Amino acid sequence: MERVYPIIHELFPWLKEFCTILDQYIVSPLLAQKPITIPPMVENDQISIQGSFQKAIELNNSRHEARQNIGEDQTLTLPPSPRVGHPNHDDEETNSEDSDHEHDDPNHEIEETNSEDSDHEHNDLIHEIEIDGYNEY
Amino acid sequence: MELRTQFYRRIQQIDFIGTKSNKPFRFQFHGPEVVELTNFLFSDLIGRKARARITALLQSYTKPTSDPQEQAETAEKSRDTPDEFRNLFGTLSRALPSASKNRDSHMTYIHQMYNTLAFLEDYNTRRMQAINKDESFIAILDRYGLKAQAGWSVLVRFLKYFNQQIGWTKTEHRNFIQGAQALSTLTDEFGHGILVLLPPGSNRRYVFNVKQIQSRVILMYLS
Repeated sequence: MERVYPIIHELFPWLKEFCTILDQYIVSPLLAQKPITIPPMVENDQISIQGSFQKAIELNNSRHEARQNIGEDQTLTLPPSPRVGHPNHDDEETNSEDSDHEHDDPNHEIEETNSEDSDHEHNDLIHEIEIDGYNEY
Repeated sequence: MELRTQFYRRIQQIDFIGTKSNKPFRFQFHGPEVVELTNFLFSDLIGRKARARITALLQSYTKPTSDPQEQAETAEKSRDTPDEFRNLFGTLSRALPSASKNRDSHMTYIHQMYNTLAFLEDYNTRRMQAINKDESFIAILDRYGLKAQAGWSVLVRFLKYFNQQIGWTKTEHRNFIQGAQALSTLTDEFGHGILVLLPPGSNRRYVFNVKQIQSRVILMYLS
């Protein structure tokens, strides 16, 4: 039976190492109440891999694939991510320019149909799926 | 084929196993759930929103002195500032967003999520003690007058006490635990670094927003 996380690892082979770097440079110092020191890396709304963050790619065994997925060498451009069609679910920051772009790109349109039925299914699923032991009474 | 589409199509084909009344059953996620999960992964976790969060975090740490809000506040209080201009800087400081506060709130979220994981670990330990009818655990319940009633297991005694203390309903309790479990599943797979990428409130939205609950519950079935 196929599982989901292996798919994520396959599609984003750099993600786990990137999280390791984030842990090393941000989360661990934060939890240890130590100062966080991050090398400058913000340029033009992209996160350039400089200094320590270079490791996110260097540590990756399939660097070529990672580069292909990411787009450019030396620069980690987190994949552009217009939301696929999901009405009534824009609960965070929006960027009107990006939004316009999304509409122009038919490849990014994954839409659900029949929202009434969908919502109904949605709610039913919440009630049906249980986790062992958490519904004991 | 675009990565997003690849992911979307493959997820739709997976058979998951859930439990209902402690009996396993097979199910698949359909359109809305898969869209939710795809958006969570490609938009919230590694997409534009994650990039914006990291960028803001890095900017606030790499340029700590360039917070106009703080500088306006300093100017308001500075002896060197002409009295006639104090109000000008004061109102500006209250009008501008604070970079350091934004940074701190993001850090607070990371802390909250980390503490959610710590809570879950403790909770699961207690829960297993109850399920195993651990004598020392039962002694604690007895000592504090948490008596059994007909049909109550040790676990039910504990959960009823716990919910009463917190003021949670059964549903609120379950939603929070499910959310924490989802978070735990993610960190088991990617480590604590993933907490930096998660949207604010990922440890506590479940109680209030059905759609958010759903996407987090989905995450429990990923690994």
